[in-house]
Amino acid sequence: MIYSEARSFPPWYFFVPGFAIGTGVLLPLIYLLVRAFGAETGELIQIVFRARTVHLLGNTLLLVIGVVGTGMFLAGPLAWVTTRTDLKGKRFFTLLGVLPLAIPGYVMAYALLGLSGPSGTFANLFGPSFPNLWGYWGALIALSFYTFPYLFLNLRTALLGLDPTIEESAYSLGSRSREVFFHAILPQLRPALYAGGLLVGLHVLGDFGVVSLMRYETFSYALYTQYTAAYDRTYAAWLALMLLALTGSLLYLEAKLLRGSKFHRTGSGTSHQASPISLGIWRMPTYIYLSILTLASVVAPTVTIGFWMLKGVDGSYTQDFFRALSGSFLVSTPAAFLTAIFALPLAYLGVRYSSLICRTLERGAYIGYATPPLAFALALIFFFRGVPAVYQTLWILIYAYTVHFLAEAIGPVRSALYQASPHLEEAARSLGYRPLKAFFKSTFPLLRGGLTVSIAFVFLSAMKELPLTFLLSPAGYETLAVNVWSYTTEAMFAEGARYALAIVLCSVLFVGLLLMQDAETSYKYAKVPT
Amino acid sequence: MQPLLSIRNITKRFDRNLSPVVEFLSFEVYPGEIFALLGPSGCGKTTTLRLIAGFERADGGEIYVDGQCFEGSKTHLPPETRDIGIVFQEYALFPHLNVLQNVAFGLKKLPAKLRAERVMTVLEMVGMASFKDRKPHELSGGQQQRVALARSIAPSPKLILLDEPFSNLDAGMRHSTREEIRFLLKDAGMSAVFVTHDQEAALCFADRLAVMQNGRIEQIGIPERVYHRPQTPFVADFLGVTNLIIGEAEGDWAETPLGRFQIAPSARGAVLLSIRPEHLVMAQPETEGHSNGVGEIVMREFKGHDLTYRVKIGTENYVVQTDYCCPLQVGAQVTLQAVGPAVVVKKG
Repeated sequence: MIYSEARSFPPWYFFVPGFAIGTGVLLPLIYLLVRAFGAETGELIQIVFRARTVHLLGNTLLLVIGVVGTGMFLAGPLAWVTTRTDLKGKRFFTLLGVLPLAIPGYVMAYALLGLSGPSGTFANLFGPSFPNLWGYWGALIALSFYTFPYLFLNLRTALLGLDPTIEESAYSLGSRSREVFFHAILPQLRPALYAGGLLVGLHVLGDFGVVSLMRYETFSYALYTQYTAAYDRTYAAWLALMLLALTGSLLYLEAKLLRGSKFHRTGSGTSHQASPISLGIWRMPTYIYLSILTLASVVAPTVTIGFWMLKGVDGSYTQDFFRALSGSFLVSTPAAFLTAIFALPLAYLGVRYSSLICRTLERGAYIGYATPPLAFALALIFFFRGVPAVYQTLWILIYAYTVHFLAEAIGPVRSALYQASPHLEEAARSLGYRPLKAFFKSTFPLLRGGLTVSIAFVFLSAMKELPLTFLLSPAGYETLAVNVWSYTTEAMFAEGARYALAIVLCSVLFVGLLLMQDAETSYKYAKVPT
Repeated sequence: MQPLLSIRNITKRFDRNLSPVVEFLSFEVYPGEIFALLGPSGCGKTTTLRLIAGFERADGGEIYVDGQCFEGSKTHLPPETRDIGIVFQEYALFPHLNVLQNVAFGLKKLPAKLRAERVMTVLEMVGMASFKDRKPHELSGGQQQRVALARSIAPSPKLILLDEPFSNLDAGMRHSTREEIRFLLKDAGMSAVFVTHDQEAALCFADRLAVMQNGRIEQIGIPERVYHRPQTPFVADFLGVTNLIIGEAEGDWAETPLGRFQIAPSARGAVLLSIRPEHLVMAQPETEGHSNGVGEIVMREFKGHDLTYRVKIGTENYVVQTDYCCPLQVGAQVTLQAVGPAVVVKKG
């Protein structure tokens, strides 16, 4: 039932923070637009329409397509065998599909670079060396292995949710296995493929670590070189804008493709799981495929990091390490708390109020998440250049983290809010408490768990974040991520190993938390009485 | 007697393009009275309850409690100042607090000692004192409801609102809970307004009831009166089973396809009559071949303590309720006669 509460205007103490953070996302981006159009028209044409732009666009698109394609190739079979066949050890291999998330792209790049080449791990351990993985192929492999879990998770959920009666009726109508797959199953997986593909695409567009380490020229890479070397502001602004436009197109494309491709079970019959398909003669090839996948996505990077770690064992860098660790810690902690504080009113507005402005504000958080961090960092630099109190301080970095990771923090708070009936607050009010007090006495205690998860999510994400940190931290400021990156650019793999290991540990915690939250949510939903 | 609650022409709309959810609603509740708002889902009864509680703002009309204006064109008292308790359909107990803390929630102004005493008094009243340390999820539905009631009674509000109080209980619990809660409210001298779509609950729980449809009240009165003298076809049909019969009235009598009936109140011209199945009796046709008003039994349903028949006269079916020992079988020719007058529910 719709009550006027949902349609009326929210109280100021929820609206003002929501509005502030909404503006915080949009204002720098608007300023970027103003800057970009600051040049004269003739100059603009010269800047935008040059051969280099086409070259960058081509490279960027090639990488997006390559990574999404490779991701599907990796995730598709894995999702299929772990959900629909009689494979042994499904749990283990499911975990395998998620675990690569714990190795961020730039750590993967570190591992690939540290593994290949004449002085790499592989040559050291086994003798023969294979050539250095640079450029397109290096970037493709690093990004594919890091991002394919997004596709895997989406496909897995879709496969588990498939209504087996559709396949069964297809068989009963005389279709053959292959026809059933292409005409009855694949169309139903389309939404999952689009959603997963979108996430992967956004990651590729937003990536800075991998392309810069692999020296593959995309928009992000060009932005970075513009920023460090030839600092042409208008051109940099335009590069950022083009990157944003590309991101926007991707979001638009996904929305357009998704329209009309939602499938629902129509009947009310009991949902049963499809009986597992026997792998038959495919058993051996499947195990080989899974072994290679495990080897490449988890074992190789871990071994590489371990190898260089052992090689570089000596105490002289301990102090440096702790400086970087505390550097990461010092910005990630306030950012995590600040993000949770802002996520609370935004989630509340989004869940409890149906008005357009409230939903727009909540969506605003997702713009912050989808905006390529490099473009956003540049927008912030332009915006705060004239404000010495902020520019080149940790405040700007904390601000950037807050805006960028807001969407991550909203999720857990929102699901907690969905479980708390609005009637709780109304009951508190009828018992004599004013609105804000009623919220804190009745609803807030139920959100504590969600808020804690939000804080942990943002903290761990910020610990491993690279591009924002790289561009926005004060000169000479060291963090774990920045150090992995700078040691890798100089091929100092032994020195970088401890930082890479620390990052992987943070990420493992992050993934663990993600899985735990997931399991808890399904447990809670299972518990809800009908 | 001065009414405790007085609703005058209250109107509420959620969307300018849609018709109001509640329109020109007026009724009064007297001290110590249990008043029911009865109607199908979507009739505006829950919205009315929320308007009284102060969770919604009225678009027109006034609400007075004890002569004080709570809601008007310029006034809107926030819920926390209204001194009105509410028990929600799903109880809305605070899941992070135990029974004791839940009941003490609204007693913040009392000193600790008095508060503890009051909580225990109320918990004993609802028979939940031994559960005081339990968390809500450790209680059954019926127990949760009693705690919710205790929580709203504890601050001694002027009025208690109950939203579909029995709908979340299983059929077995419903009867006993209804009795208990009615006894509790009466014992505490509380006035209550409750909302339900269950006509049986309204009939046996309320002192007076209002039947609502499409945001308007169709009829207000004591249960017996509304049941036996419905004023509209909707009320007649919604409160139990009825036969709606078209007739031609002439004073206290009307000519119908079933024959001549006494009617109340008196009318003239075309009328719609309501006769309850238990007010119809079947009789053998007096003269063979006289077709007017003679029908055939098309269905007989034995239900243990009573029997339901369906009699076809002309093209219409009529429902008749008899006691357990009626021997008539399907196919028998019968006429229908009424015990007591048929009720005119529509004129013209």
